Amino acid sequence: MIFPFTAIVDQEEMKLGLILNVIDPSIGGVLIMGEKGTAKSTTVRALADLLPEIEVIKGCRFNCSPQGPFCSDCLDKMHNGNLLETEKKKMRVVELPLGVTEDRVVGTLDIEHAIKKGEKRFEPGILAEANRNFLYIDEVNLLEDHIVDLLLDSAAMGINTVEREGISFTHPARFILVGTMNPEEGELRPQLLDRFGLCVQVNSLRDKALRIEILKRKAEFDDSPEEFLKKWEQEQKKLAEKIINAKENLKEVNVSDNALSNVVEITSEISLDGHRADIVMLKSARAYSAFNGKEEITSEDIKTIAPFALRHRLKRLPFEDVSAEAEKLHAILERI
Amino acid sequence: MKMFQQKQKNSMQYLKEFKINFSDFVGQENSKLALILNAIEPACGGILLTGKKGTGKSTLLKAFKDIAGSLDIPFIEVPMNVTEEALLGGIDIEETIRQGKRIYQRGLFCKANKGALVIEDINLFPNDILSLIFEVQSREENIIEREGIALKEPSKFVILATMNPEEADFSSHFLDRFGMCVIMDEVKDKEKRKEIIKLNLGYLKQNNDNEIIKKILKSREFIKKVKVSDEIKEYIAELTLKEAVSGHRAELFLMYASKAYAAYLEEKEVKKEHVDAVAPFVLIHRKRLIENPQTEEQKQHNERERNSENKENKENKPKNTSSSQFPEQGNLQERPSSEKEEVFFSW
Repeated sequence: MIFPFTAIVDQEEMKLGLILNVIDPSIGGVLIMGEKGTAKSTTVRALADLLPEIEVIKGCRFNCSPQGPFCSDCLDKMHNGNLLETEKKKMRVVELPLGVTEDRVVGTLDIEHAIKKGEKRFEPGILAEANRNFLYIDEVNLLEDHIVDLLLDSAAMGINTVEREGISFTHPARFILVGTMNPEEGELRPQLLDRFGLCVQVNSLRDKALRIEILKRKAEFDDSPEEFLKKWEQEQKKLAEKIINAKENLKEVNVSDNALSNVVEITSEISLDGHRADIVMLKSARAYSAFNGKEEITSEDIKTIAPFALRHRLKRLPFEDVSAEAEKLHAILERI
Repeated sequence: MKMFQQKQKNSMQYLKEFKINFSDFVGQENSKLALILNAIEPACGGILLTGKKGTGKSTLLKAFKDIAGSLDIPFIEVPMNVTEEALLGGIDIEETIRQGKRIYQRGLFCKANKGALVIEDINLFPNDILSLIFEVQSREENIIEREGIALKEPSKFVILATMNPEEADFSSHFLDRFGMCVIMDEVKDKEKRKEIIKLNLGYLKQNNDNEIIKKILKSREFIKKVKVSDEIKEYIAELTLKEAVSGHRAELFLMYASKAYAAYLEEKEVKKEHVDAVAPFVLIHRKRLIENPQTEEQKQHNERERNSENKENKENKPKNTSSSQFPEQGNLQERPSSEKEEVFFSW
């Protein structure tokens, strides 16, 4: 039994960040920063329930989309003139545990198959499972360096190329990266930080009433999960529908020149590396407009979204807090 | 061989869906030119695209992949998870078990023959893998002595690589192997930034690459006619001396790069302008690491001193060569590596 997404008290920022990614997976994931015990994992797991169905190629181990890109298996099938059937599958949250080894991440030679049948076969790893799904890494800042290196590659280009143990295999690995971290326990390398589309912050709630509400709901859920789920079913359905609608209307949202100017205005004034921030900001603003059922991106939308896209990309000098840059960002946002 | 070509085509089709066309890529003219020059003349020695995150290094290489495909240049990507065996080639388990004798399977080096080996985030690769790659590249031959297999195969390729210097250091020894290096910075121009966003969201109509491909094919023919006069060779030597680069790779790379550039502009004779235009690509990653980061004042001061010395010795050597070498080397060792990077990037 999973605690329902809508029953999680407050933490709107984290919820919104995740929902935007469901609406437009190309945003590139969320990094959730916060103290322990702030429902980070609960929220991500709860999300699974809300996820829409996706169309995949039947029998494909990599959830290839019928529109491509395709894995080596599907391409072989196509070249042999086979027609590819499709089926619907629910999106999933795939976890990458901390102690993971390299071969499990990228995939490797299927030893059992090789010995039994004398054939080489690729055994898919976690990146394969995560294709078109969520890839969830708890405590991402504690991940070993060489595992991070492996992730960087696929996270950016959405392809996993495997060249090892006599296996040569390519498959799409376009996942929505969701990581949680507690900044007190160590920093995250800038290159990986940049791969997360958005960054949200969670804090423990200070409001007494809300804290009591959390206790109440949790106790209720523990006592009789079935009843609790039934109680929240309506809400869950409503949100799921809203997300599906937004997904459909995403391409209809008008991206005006004004919105583009706003984005560029912000990003060119604070010192940022590269162009990911620009692209992510516009994509999330578009998803946000679609979520709210609007037809055009307004300055307000961009104002709401900007901190999500920029928070983890602000530069800081040694011994300096991010606050200086953050204040600057604040000032720019006020102006728009 | 046939199967291999088919595989190439497969992977092209596979990438079609989410790539950005080379011709559509906004900005980064230097990097584009450097890639084109390498496609015209492989002797240019490969290219290292270095820059901060999100500046389009990988995107540009992926865009170039299609051009390479149309030109029939093998474009072999080396993933971070690569093993030594996958690079060199080794035993083919399936065939070996089936046939009961050792069957050899070609490695990536061999597949990349007459083409390009593509390495993303090269500075994150383990050093032993890198040493292996550069060794085979310079020998232009893959010698296999492992698991009871002994054979030699031609393996001549250029390396196209990307790296983000913030992530890890990259030995200057490896840097020197690259014919060219281009620094990619984010585009500052606001209008262009807007265009980049639009392009990435798929709101710009796409050009196709046919024109560039035609141009490269034409230049590849044309380069056979391009002459490099002695005067230009002398100029190249002077230039590399002046920039105080170590070794002789720079001269060779610079000559081929100038030649390719002249061919690109369809001029039959390499001129000084051509050399000047491509010199930054060839020299940037060599000179900056060796040169002492001096302020202008210090430089003038040193020059004055040197001149007075020179008068005494009635020296007529070119400036900046022998007389300046020992203090600089001393300084280089003292300087922490992070500072080296900064110098590298101040260009």
